[in-house]
Amino acid sequence: MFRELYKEANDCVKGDRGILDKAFLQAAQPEKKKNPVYKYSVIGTAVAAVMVLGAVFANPTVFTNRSETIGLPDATPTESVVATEAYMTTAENDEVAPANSTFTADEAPIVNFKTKVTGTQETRADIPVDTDSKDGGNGEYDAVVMSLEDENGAFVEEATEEQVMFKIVRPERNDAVTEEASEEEAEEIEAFSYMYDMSCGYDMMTEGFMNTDVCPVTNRKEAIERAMNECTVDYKNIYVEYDMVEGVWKITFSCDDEVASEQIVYMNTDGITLGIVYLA
Amino acid sequence: MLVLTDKKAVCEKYFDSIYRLVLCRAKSKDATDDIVQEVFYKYIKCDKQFETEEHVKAWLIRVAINASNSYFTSSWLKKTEPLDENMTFDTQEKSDVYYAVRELPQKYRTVIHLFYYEDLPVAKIAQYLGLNESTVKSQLKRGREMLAAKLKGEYDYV
Repeated sequence: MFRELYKEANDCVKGDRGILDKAFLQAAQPEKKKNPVYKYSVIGTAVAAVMVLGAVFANPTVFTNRSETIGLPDATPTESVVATEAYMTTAENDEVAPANSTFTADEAPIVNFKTKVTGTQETRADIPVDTDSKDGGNGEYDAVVMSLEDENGAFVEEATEEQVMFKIVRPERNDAVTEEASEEEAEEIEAFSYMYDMSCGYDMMTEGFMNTDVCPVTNRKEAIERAMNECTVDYKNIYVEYDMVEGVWKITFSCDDEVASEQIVYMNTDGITLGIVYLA
Repeated sequence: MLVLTDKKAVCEKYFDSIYRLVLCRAKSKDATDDIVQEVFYKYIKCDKQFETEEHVKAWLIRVAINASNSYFTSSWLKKTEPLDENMTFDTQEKSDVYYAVRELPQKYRTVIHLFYYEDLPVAKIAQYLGLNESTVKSQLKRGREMLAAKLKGEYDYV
């Protein structure tokens, strides 16, 4: 019989019981953060740092030139991504630029920028931009989208100044409360790439969700409350990330001592669940 | 009777079972060692009170499946090549059967292993793998067909 033979064959397979000693030794040591998302972000950060240094040393002059053209190109998925951290000054008036507007170099001169590789999915990247208004205030834009593309729309790894384009993508903030909340949120919420997650081959549920009606999600608290509608287990830990390029929230619920101990909810900014992944 | 609060004894008892399950799913011995260590680390750190041995075993199997799923979703690990483990069997027949199962696609060999080695019913396998029972049944059927083709149909797959 196959069953008996397969059992006998497996009984011949012996693992190294030193693994158990290692597990007990590991358990006796101080606990480290084991969230897989954290692990990947550490690796990604290390890779990004190495490539930033490589890019800067390879062609330092590119990173100190000012842009002549500021506008938003169409987002075109390509093979690689370069995000630029830019520091801009505002136009000659004190008004905060409206959302989705574009700028000329005179209106928003770039005083410094540098590049770093952040992923492999899109040519677009979200960039935090600090601006100083003319009256000495500290007007801040949440983010800009940048693309490095040539006239044919092809990705350019080392762009010339004509190929660097910026655009404000978040709505301007109208009051101090909103601004304060957004600043706090910006500090707490980690970035992730929805496209990268999709390429990882997770076994994702894509239907049968609770969140199917529009309910805009604008901050971490709302994202958690909304995502909890999809949970049937009381999880201990909640970890929130946001993909500014795709406009997707990623809420990871985990609970170390349960069988189904991790659930990831992907949700768009309208509060509609895009998918759910269950992991250990 | 096993004292469930004695974690060392529990680990010793279920080590081979969990190791063989993970090895069945893994591409290499190194990956198996990593995953098995992770499973028992979670068990040692776990504060959950288990009522029966069956409960402990079910928990370990589920964690082993989830841990190996997480391990294999890494794009880096997808590129690793399986190693030749040089496992030895006392008869050629056992070797043939074991490697025939190892050569099946992962989803088939997992259900085959749980069904034929762990003697788990289809409903339990479906629960552990997060699949429908009908899916498990069809994977079992397909797995048996592939084994029959590899092993020349010499065995009774009851």
